[in-house]
Amino acid sequence: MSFITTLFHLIEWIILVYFFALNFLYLLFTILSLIGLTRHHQLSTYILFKEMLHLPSLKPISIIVPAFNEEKTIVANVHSLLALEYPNYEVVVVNDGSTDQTLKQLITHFHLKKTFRVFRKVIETASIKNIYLSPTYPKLVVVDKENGQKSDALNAGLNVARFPLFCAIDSDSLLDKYALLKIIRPFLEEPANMVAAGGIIRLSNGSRIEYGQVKEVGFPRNLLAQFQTIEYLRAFLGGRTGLSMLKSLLIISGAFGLFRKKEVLDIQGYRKETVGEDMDLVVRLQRHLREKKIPYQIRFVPDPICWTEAPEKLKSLTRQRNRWHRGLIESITYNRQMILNPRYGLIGLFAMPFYVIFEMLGPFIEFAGYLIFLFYLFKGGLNSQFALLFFMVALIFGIVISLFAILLEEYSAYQFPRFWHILGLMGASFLENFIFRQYLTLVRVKAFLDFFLGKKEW
Amino acid sequence: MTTQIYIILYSLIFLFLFTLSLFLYISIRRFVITQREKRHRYLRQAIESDILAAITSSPKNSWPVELKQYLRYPDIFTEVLLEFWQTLSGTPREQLKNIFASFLKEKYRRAISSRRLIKRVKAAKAFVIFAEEKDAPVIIQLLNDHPLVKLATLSSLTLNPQPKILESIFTSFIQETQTPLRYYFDLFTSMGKIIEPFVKKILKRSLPEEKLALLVELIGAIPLTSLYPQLLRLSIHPSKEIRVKTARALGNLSLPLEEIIDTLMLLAEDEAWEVRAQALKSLGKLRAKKALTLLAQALFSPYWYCRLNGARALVQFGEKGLKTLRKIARQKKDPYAADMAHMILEEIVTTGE
Repeated sequence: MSFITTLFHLIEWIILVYFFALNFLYLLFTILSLIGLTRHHQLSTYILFKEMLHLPSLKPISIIVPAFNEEKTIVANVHSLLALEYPNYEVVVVNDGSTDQTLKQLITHFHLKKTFRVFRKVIETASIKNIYLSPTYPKLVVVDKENGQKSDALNAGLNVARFPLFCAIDSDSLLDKYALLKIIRPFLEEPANMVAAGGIIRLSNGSRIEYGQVKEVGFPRNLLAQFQTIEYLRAFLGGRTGLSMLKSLLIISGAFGLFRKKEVLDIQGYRKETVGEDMDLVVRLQRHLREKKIPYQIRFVPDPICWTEAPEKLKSLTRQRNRWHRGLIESITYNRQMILNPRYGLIGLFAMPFYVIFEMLGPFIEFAGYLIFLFYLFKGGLNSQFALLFFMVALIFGIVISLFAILLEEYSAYQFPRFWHILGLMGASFLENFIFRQYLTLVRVKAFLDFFLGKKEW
Repeated sequence: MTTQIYIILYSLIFLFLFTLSLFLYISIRRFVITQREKRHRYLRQAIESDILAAITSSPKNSWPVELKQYLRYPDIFTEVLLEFWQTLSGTPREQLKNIFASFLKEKYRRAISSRRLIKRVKAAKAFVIFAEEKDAPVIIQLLNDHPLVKLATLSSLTLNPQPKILESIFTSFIQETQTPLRYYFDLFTSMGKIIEPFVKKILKRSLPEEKLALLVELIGAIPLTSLYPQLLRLSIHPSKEIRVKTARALGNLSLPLEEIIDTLMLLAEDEAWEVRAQALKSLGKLRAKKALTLLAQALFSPYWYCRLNGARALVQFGEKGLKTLRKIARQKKDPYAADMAHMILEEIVTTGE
């Protein structure tokens, strides 16, 4: 029994250290984000993005949109992509063997014609059946291929894309009209070194959408979507801006990121064996460029917006988070040689250990805390005063960090127009700490087990 | 039990007060911003109509006194002037410059010497856009300032090119180590042909590859046709990048001279496929008839881009080129060549490109 008590004491200490380290880092990221957002805002004032529209050095972009069974949204989304403000770009939609009417919808609405397009097959993909072009929309290219999952569709798009920069986006996401002009900025500032840039993902739940554009930002009525709204603000405005300032960015969301094609082709595009292709690509890019000693930059840009719909049902949210966590574990284990390896600089010494301890193992540590609490509660011997104090400190930290994220949102974008939206966000910051947070911890613990049981499905 | 209640109570009170203060802060901030925007809109309208009235009725250099009252709002005043400057052209632009000189210039000149970087950056933009020839020394000072100020100056010079300070800009370009060169590219492109003698002069110097590549690209982009002999000399440069840019620039000059075509034909047989691909594209642009056979042969190249550019170049020749493409599409010996010819033929039909 004394062994178990000693073990539990040890775990308690680990949890305590973990807890304070995590919250310290989150606060650090928030402070860095505040500095980063202010600097970005100040710099944006003297070179307006609309002025960039006429710059001769603006590089053309291929937008790659993998689509699988998206018959309901594909037409509106492609229309919105074709109406973006950018001087030279193409939209490559890859129909990844959809079993519904996705392709038919595209053919009918955009008057697609089958063509005999040949391309450089730099990356091996499932076979391409046909390539379609549209006489009415010359920017649009539709690739029809056998099903091979998202990474494979993106790779097929990479093979067919013509331009030196490519932007990978989800087919159910909507890009803000000026998103490309905003996300290209780091590539103009650092043309030689900039390899990838990520934009911000915002939730469109509750917003008014017309012709593929968010016309009025709203606050979701669904409680799950409300919690996710605050989560996204925390992750993008707090986490990614801070990590980007520390040059430790390991994720560019698959929903919206801009990459230099050459470097991505050098690492053979997206890895097919993973369900977290977005993180995997960025980690492998970082690894490749560090190993080759090529000077590079990967940055997060806080103002180009991509809108996406958050799952409003527990089942789909669970599936999504399970997949994300499995993707994270896959990327980390695949690139494990980078962990604590000085050869990879800050990425190896800070970013990778951070993701291992706080993102990958974090749910386990949190879960262990709940178990120990329950153990002492039923067995007796619970220091209720300490437990309560710890719980309240955890709660306060959690809420304060979320509230800071609302403040960052207010400074950076001022997107939520009504006061009740802010009140709603504040309420969600409080409520998400009960049940929702614990549930997601459980989901991620299960994802961990699923990963080791070899689960590969989406 | 009492201690526990205190813990909960104090925590909740802290949370409540923190949330409340944050909400109040956001509310007050929004209120201030909304009021400021309202005032801003109102002032903007007033300044807009007064400036419009001034530039349409007032004789040069004698501006109505109403404009003086807006000196208290220099940011909005400048914003309106900049907006008008971008939409108007010709004499009204000169008048806007004069208004700026009469009311705001001195203020910005002082701001340029400020110790605060962001103030200097903002001042640089407005000052340079409304600069006159006599302001050249100030602009040169800005070009020697912090990289961010320099960047703002260069991007503003793109909107208001100053031929008088070209010498200094080129000196700054030669000495440049920090600012991305693309800002110079945008600036030089906006200046057009007046930069020709300067480019010619500095091409005689020994330049780092990146800068030389930019100048070569510039010759093609503007285009600076009289500098084609310099390009011909660069076609044998040891750097592949320079040869690629030279091939592109020669095509962009649109000068179907014998010596240019011969140089491009030589580049089309370069050891680097990237140079070959670019030369083929340029030969297509120049519709160099004597290169027809070479372009047709390019479709049998093992390099995808050479095949693509060769095929696209053939399209430029009209029926003659299309005939060659059809012939290649029909042949069975090289399926890659046939596929490429086929694709280009279809591309013309489908997208008209």
